[in-house]
Amino acid sequence: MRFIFFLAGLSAGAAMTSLMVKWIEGNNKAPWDGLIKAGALLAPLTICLGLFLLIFDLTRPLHFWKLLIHYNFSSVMTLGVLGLFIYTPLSFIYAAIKFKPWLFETGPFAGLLKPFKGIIDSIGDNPAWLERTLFLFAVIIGIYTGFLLSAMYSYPLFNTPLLPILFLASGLSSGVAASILFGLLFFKSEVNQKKCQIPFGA
Amino acid sequence: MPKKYGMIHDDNLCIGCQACSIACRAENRVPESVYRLQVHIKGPEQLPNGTLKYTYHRQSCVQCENTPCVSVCPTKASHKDENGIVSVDVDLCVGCLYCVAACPYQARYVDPVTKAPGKCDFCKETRLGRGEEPACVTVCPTDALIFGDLNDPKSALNKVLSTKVTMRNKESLGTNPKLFIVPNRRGGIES
Ligand code: SF4
Ligand code: SF4
Repeated sequence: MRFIFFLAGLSAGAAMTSLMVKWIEGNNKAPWDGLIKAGALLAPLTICLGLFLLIFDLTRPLHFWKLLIHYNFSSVMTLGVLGLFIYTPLSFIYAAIKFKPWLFETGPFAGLLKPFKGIIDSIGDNPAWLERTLFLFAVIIGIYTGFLLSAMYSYPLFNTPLLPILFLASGLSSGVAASILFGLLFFKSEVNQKKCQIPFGA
Repeated sequence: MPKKYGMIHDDNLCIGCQACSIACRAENRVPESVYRLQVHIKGPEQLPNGTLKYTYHRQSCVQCENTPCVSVCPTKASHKDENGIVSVDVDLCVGCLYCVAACPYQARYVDPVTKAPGKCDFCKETRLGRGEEPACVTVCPTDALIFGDLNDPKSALNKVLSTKVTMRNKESLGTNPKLFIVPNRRGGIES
């Protein structure tokens, strides 16, 4: 539980960071592009890691698939599962669009992924509908973990309407921090290449 | 008409002998490291005339009507049947333990074998089907436990509810428990 809370928040925060920077600053503008890319990459990776760890957090991990086909709409956890059904693929598509050249042309998996190029191409480079839905679901995933805890009214400490907001804020801050770090570590050369005016890090 | 099973624990009659918890363990084959039912004994407290008083608390599922454990369960493994008894369908359970955390009465444990939560189910699987009362009720030497149908106005349960003062634990949470307590008549009541 502990890790999924942190990683889901981080993923949602990274997706929101990436989208907001993109909307405000636009693509291919150094140094912002590194931040956009880092967020786009972090969102699907951290949510997958979180879900993977979540499965092993169950006391009956081999039964985890029952979570995917049995629903209880009064359970916050079911709503979260359904939210993740939408959020996770969207975050992957968003990352695929951002890394299109690497994925389909220069990267090591280019040959393998060729068949999917058509699908990603058909979505376009800046699909507003996808970005807006992704943002909406990032917010939902960010507050979901808070609702998960606040539904347990046996703990007075958790049972407060402020908790979901608190989780969203903490997710957003960790997402921003992770995006900056990731952007500096992996997309710095790109930033330098484009001769940015504002030095992005050292 | 479906039944609505409930129970009374009379603190004045209870002597804390744990016969009920042992009977529960034997009947439901509850593993050693966990329990479905215990009687927690508080005291002794000295009354002004010098006599001693103990208070007994039945630590077990109170069979809520508004069940936090059922509403949080993502797969409906935790469910309430038509007779109002809450139990776990082990086959559906994924082991997220959300129900264990959500229960305000700490009534659930994780079964060391199945790794799924277990709890009191009024001996639904074992004795109720045979028309017998739950094991704890049968063995209680002082008849401190009364089991019955809340929907039947003539049941022994309703008779006591109509003649004695009863209370339920943590009612402020809105769980609407079906375990009623006849509080100790002597000494002060801690509210
Ligand atoms: S006491 Fe706990 S386990 Fe029993 S019905 Fe209420 S919430 Fe569920
Ligand atoms: S541990 Fe099992 S019974 Fe409890 S909430 Fe999770 S799936 Fe439901």
